Amino acid sequence: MGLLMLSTALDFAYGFWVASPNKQKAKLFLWLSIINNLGILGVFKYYNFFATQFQEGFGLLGLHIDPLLLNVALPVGISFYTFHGMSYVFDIYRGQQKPVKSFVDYAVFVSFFPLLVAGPIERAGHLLPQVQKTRTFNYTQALEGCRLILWGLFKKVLIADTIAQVIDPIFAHYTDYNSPTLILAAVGFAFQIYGDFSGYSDIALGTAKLFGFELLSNFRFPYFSRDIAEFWRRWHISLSSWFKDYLYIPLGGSRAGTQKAVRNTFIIFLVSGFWHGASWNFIVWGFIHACAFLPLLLLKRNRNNTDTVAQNATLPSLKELWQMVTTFGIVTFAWIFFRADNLDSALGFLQGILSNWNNLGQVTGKSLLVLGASLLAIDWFLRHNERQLRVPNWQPFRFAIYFGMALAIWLKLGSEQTFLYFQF
Amino acid sequence: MSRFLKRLIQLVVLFVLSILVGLVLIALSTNFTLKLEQKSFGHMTHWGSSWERISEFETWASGTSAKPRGLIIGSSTTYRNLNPYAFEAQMPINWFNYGSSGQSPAISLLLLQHAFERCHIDYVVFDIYGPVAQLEGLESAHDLIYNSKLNFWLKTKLVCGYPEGKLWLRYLYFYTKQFVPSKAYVIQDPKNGTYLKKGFVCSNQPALKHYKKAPERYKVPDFPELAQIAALCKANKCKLILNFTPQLGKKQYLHKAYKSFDKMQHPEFCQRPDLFYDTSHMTCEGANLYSEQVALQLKKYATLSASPR
Repeated sequence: MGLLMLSTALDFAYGFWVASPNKQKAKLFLWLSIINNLGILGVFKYYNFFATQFQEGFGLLGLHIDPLLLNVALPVGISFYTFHGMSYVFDIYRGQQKPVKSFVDYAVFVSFFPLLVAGPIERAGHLLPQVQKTRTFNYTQALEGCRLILWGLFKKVLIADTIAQVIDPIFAHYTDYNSPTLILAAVGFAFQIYGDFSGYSDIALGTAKLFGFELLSNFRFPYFSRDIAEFWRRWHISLSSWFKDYLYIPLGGSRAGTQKAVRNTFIIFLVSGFWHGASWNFIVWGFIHACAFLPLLLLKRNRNNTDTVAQNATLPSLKELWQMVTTFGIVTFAWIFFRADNLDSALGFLQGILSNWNNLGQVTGKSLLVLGASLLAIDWFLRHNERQLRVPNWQPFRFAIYFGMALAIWLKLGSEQTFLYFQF
Repeated sequence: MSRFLKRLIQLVVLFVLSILVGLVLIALSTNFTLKLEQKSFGHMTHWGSSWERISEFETWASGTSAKPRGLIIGSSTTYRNLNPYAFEAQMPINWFNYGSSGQSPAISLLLLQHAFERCHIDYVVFDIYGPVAQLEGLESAHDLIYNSKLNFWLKTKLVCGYPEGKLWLRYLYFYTKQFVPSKAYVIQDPKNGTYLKKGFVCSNQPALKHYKKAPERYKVPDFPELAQIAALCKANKCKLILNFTPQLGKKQYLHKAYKSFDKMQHPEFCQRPDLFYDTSHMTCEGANLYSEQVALQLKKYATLSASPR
């Protein structure tokens, strides 16, 4: 709490200093703000990682050092509120935003409770005007919010948590399972993290609607992506667009020559991996995505798929289906590194997939396919608008669906698990 | 805003009503009731003959007893390891085993409150299972909601302690069944053992044969309900005796909070795999042998003379 207040107060002050007409002074304070925000993140999230890496590095040279390690829990939501603050200061520096005069308004923007612990990462230009204006209660918006909360809870409690119960023991004891089970667990995790995180985002969006706020979308049916570039336009949109606007483009983006574009691509994916956690497996996760993105960038095909899949059809074409399946395969492969406890476990898990093709009749977790397929089927019908849970208009049928979902959530109460993104 | 709140309240009421209607439909005795119950709630006696044990407690508590009364409370290790008949063979006390699966200290306290409301009890043996503080008591709560005759307020208190959807549904179903013509399906599961009355279940599983693990030291922790249980017993003029259930391969040592209590321990059983069917629960033979030893020790604390109560 103290850290959140300190970070908020500092960024609020930097906002005024960065707005200075003196460009040199503004730049100085911009850098101070960056050092300040990354410093907070660095100490609480990355210090131990770097300290142990140095220790291991010196160990390879035959030198023994014993660094002081911090024994503090990662402050909840630190990665999210520092990014809120940074985007505010950046936007002011660029002249896209004026510093707000009210500290309370700014504090609400940084710490608005639905998005404090796991996003979406909001932009000052989008949320602050909503904080500053007088809001009136909107019946339709509130009902939409309730529907989103219900749908989010369903995805989290029914789908993600049920899958977690099956796959957690498999990831924990992967040496005990055969290849098909490990593949199923990896696919299961792809659905778990989607259900978990997009469920959280829906709950956050829905809760914000109840208070009259519209937050940025975080997901747009990412598993219907036809290539990795499209996946990143649909997955954790608020983070990927943050990195694009405040890191990729300032570095030159894709317009400063091929070499720089390649470099920038690797930088944003590696930084994105590192943002998720101070561990090599997250960095490898980012690296895999960068490698999958690279051919699209070099062939200038990274903006090929900007529309909705099967826009005017009920089902996708065979080509689209193949593209979606291969993209899902790459994403799932990368998720193994994301889910594993460390790099060794991820590599061990992959080795298990390659080598344990025995007892093929004994496959654990077949139910995961049903849950995953159900989620995809519902998503397919909703794919034109991620914000609305579209249910047929006939009231008894609609109520039956809502009540069925509510009952299913109710029955799972007590066995729910923490949101995966709370750890970041 | 008021339109929205009205709509929300309407929906909540409709939701609760539709659940109640669903429960009534399941409860009304039809050919489908048994299957639907099995799918939705499980059954009475799902946990080690609880239905009979808990019902019998009410008879035991409401009847007159020529001897002082003794109550044994604790988790599944209690009703499987402590044989009240072995206790009665050693001392003129009317014992009843009121253990229930996964009973947490909070639920032990609740059950004791209920027991003291029902009758005077002279002795309480509180059987402490090593990791007792880690028991959340949910399994026991399910058992008690469905199988016990705790009064409405105690059941409601119990349910309120657990934000678990299934438990709440079970609770609603229990009361729904009181109001509609419905049959109680009591399912006998032979794997749970044989119920020998007075709350004791004789386990019928084979003993462990090849258990070779060096005993490790284990500290039995303190828990906040212990002091409350002690105070409750004192207020009801009842003597509290603690029994520390042996666990296979575990050498127990106690938290200092247990220093001031009358207590019983039998570490010699921790290395007898031939008397256990898993690391905590004893076979019938093991339970009888163990109970005899506990009874000999218990005799020292149970000094009241027989008089009608």
